[in-house]
Formats: sequence, structure tokens, C-alpha cells
Amino acid sequence: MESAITLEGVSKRYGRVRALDEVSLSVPEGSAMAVLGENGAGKTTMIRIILGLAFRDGGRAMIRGMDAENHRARRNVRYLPERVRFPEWATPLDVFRHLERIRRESGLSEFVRRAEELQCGDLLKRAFGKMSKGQSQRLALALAVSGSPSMVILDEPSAGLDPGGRILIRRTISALAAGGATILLCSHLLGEVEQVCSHAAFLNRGRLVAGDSLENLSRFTGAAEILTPEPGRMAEALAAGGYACRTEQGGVTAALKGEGSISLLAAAAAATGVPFSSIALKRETLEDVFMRVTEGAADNVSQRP
Amino acid sequence: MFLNALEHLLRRKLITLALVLFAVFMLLFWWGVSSSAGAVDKFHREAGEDTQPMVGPEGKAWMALATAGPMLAAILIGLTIIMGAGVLPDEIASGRLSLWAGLPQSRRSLYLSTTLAPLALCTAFGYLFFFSTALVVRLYFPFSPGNLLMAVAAMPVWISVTWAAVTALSLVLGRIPAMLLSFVLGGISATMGSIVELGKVLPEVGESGVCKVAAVVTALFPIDRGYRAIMAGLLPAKTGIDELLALMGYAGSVSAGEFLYPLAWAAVTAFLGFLAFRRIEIR
Repeated sequence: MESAITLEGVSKRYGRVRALDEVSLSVPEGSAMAVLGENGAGKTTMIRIILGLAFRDGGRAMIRGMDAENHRARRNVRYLPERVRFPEWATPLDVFRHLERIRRESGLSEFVRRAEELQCGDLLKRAFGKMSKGQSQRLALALAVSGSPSMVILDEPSAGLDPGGRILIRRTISALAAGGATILLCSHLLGEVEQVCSHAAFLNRGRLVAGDSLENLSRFTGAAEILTPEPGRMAEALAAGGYACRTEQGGVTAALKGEGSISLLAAAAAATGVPFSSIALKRETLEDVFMRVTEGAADNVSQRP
Repeated sequence: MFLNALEHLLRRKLITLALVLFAVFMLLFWWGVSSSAGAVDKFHREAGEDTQPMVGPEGKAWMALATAGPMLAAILIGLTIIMGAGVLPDEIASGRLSLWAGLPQSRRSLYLSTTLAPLALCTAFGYLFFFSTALVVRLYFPFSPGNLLMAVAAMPVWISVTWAAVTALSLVLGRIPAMLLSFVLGGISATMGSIVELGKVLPEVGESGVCKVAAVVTALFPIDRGYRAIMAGLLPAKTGIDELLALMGYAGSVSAGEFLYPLAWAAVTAFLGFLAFRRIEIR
């Protein structure tokens, strides 16, 4: 798969602080990659370097093979900053007109459709100064992604939004990804990332500690998940057979016992007589992966001389 | 982006305030000029028909314009400084620039379009302020401007020096220090410029040390040269009181070098501003 964004050994310092330390990353064309990490890990700096807003000290940053500092590389690339601010007097229609004077990539009807998808079509003539944060944020996303962008870079698009707003934004990002756009998403909301993204990159103190598809990043946990309407009864019966179990809503998680043990567990579950609809190996959640890679990286950092 | 920046500027309350201030100034000025014209006529009528007027209509026009000039200049320079620091530096400081800088446009294009908007707007205000004032004077004291074309051409030259200074300084020092420094430099330059003008008419002043210092200061920051050119172009050519009015800072002549040098100075300073902006990291 071709690379939409390529970083090769990108480094960046702010005085004595190392914001990025030889980060190399490839975002496949058409993928949706999340950039994850704690506050100050270097996520926003990385995005700013990709967009030519900040300058790297070393390494190479490219968008579709073109140097990221070349403005032509940003054609049909859209960006939504974390704290987007518009002039208080400006309405979304004003800002759209201003944006399109420069990018010339989207028609008004496409913007109106996006705004309606984000349930803010009635706010197009209202000044940003008279809107709530959630309304501004949803309109900012509509402005950023109107038309058919080939790449969308979003820095914490759901920050500070209510659950309804988050769902709308998540749907829009998913629709863009389904439409073939490359997505680069910075977010602290791991649940959101899991639903929207196909890939993830983990930054820790400016270093890339892991980056791959979610499938490759997530390990098997050595447990299996059994979906059953009676998790309590199932857990009790399996525990009697020597399985360590944990009940969860709608199912039971049972620790496997050795090689090929999924079939043994399936047989044991069937033998309990408790109905169940499926049994599958359980993988790490993104939260598990996040904890594993960031804690591992922290250990490595603390062990460095 | 130029149109965006222009729209952004036009929406500011500062523009309304400037226009209101100018309207108030014009009303007062109109009142003053019409009253003084009436008073002079009355004086001559009462003194008898054979009394020779001390100064003719051109001399009166000279005095009226020379009185209005510094006030208009102060308003315009203030406006240029505030607006010059009010688009690009303001966008950077407010964190709004990342949205625009992330678009497919070069830093050069972003810099030029956002900074040229205040220059264009202030120049337009300059024409409005100075030419409407001259028109009011001409209604009461008929006169022919010394060189109207020079006044027209000098307006962008004059404004561009302050604009370039405040733009470049604000990208290096920040908005507020740049505005303060530009005000101070503007004041110093205007004062020194008056001494230079006096030196042109009075040789003993021209040869003095203070005049040489004034020449150096105005060369380093030639904010007033364009202004002198505007006034030299607008003021009547013949007044008969040149020496007296040179004390007010208008010698009535500006050489081509004095005219072109500020333009080159503004271009170089604006370019230095661009060099600073090119490497600014936008948050």
C-alpha cells in the first residue's frame, strides 16, 4: 500500500525539550491512523510538522512523496486544529467563503450537506461569537471536511464535546474513512479511535514506541470471550471445571488452558448446558495496548543511562 | 487571502471609530475654515477697499492645510500602526493562523496577502482624509495644488514606511512592543523631519549639527518623507510666506531621492518581515 504520509527520522527540539526524537512513520493511503500518547508526547508537534506549520530539526516529512514544507503537498489535505478559533463576527458561511477563496475544492452545497450531517445546518448564518463550543466545533469539522478531501488531519476533534456531539463527529470521520480518505487522528478517546481507525501510532516522550494496524498491535490475551444471556450461570459452571472466569455484561471471559484450548473451552461451555451464541479468542483492547506500549516505553526510558 | 484580510479589517470597530473621528474632524475643520474665511472678508470690508490683504487666498489655503496636515497625519499613522499589527501578528497571537497556514498556500502568499490588506486600506483612508480636507479648503480659499500627482503617488510611499516597520517589528518583538516602538519612532522622525525641512529654507539651520543629526534620523526611519511629499504636492505652489511656514515643517519641495528612498526602505523592511515570518512556527 502506498504511503500517504511518510516521516523518516523526524526530530524536533524546543530549547532543551525534545518534542520528537527520530520518529519514522508511514501512514498508508486510505487508512485511518490514530496518533496516541499522553499529553506532551509530541502528537501535535508531529501534525504541525506534517502540515508545514512547524519546522523539523532533522529527518524528512513527506505528503504523498512531496516535502511537507511545500504548500502544494497540502492540496486536498484538510486540517482541523485542536482549538480552532474564528473571528467572533464571522458566520460559518463567511468562513467557508474565505476558505474556498484559497483552497477552491468544495461547493457551498457540499458544505451545507456536511453541516446538516453534523446537525448544525441551522447555524450557518449565526456568528461564531454567539455559538457554544460544541456548535463551533461541529461547524469547524464541517468546514474542514466539506467536499471530498483525500486526506484529513484532525487534532482532538471531539475534545470538550457532549456525547451527542462526539457521536456525530465519529460518524463523519467514519464516513470519510469509508469514502477512501486518509485520516490522521489525534485523540485521547481510545474508544473513539477503536471505532474509527484501522491503524495506530503510539508516541511517548517524543519517541514512536509502536505503530501498525490495530489488528497487528493487539495481542491475544490468552482468554476467550463467550457471549451468553446467562453469564453468571456459565461462569459458575466453567469455574467448576477449573477455568478462571470473569463475568461481563453479555458474556464471560475465561482464561484458556494451554495449546488448542479454545476447542476444549468450547466443549466445556457446551457441556454446561447454558446457552451461548459465540466463543472467540479475546484480543487486547486499544486501552490494553496503550498501557502495554507506553508503560514498556517508560521502563525503557527510565533504564536509559 | 487578501480579500479575507481586507474583510476582516473592515469588520473591525476601529474602522468605524476612525471614520467617525474623521467625520468629526471634518465638521470642525469645515466650520473653522468657513468661519475664518468670513472673518477675513469682514476685516477687509471694515478696513476699506484699498487695504491690501496680508496674504492672498493661496496663502490662507496654505495655512489651513498646514494646520490640518499634522492632525490628519497623527490619525493615519495611528490607524496604520494599529491595523498593521492587527492582521498577521494578531492572527498569530490569537492562534487563528494555523487554520489558514494549513491551507495549500505558500508562506509568501500568506504574508503578502495578509499584510498588504492594511496597507491598501490605510492608503485609501489617506486619500480620503487628505483630499477631502484639501477640497474643503479649496471651497473657501481657491488655490492650485503644487503637484497633485506627487501627492497622489506619495500617499502609499508614506503609509508603507510605517506599515513595513510595524509589520516587521511585530513579527520579531510581538504586537504591543512593535506598536509602541513604531509610535515613538514615528514621533521622533516627524520632529527630526521638521528640522530637515527648516534646514532646506534657512541655510544657517541646514548647516547646523542638529540638522545633520535630523537628516541621519530621518534616513534611518524615513516615516515623514512621504508625508512631506504629500504636503508639498497638495499645498499651493506660491504663497509668499515660505520661510515663515518652513517653521511648520513644509519647505515646499521634495527631491526624487527623498521620494524613492522611503519606498525602497519600506520594501526592504517588508522583506525582512517576510524572512522572519517564513520561519515562524505557527501554533
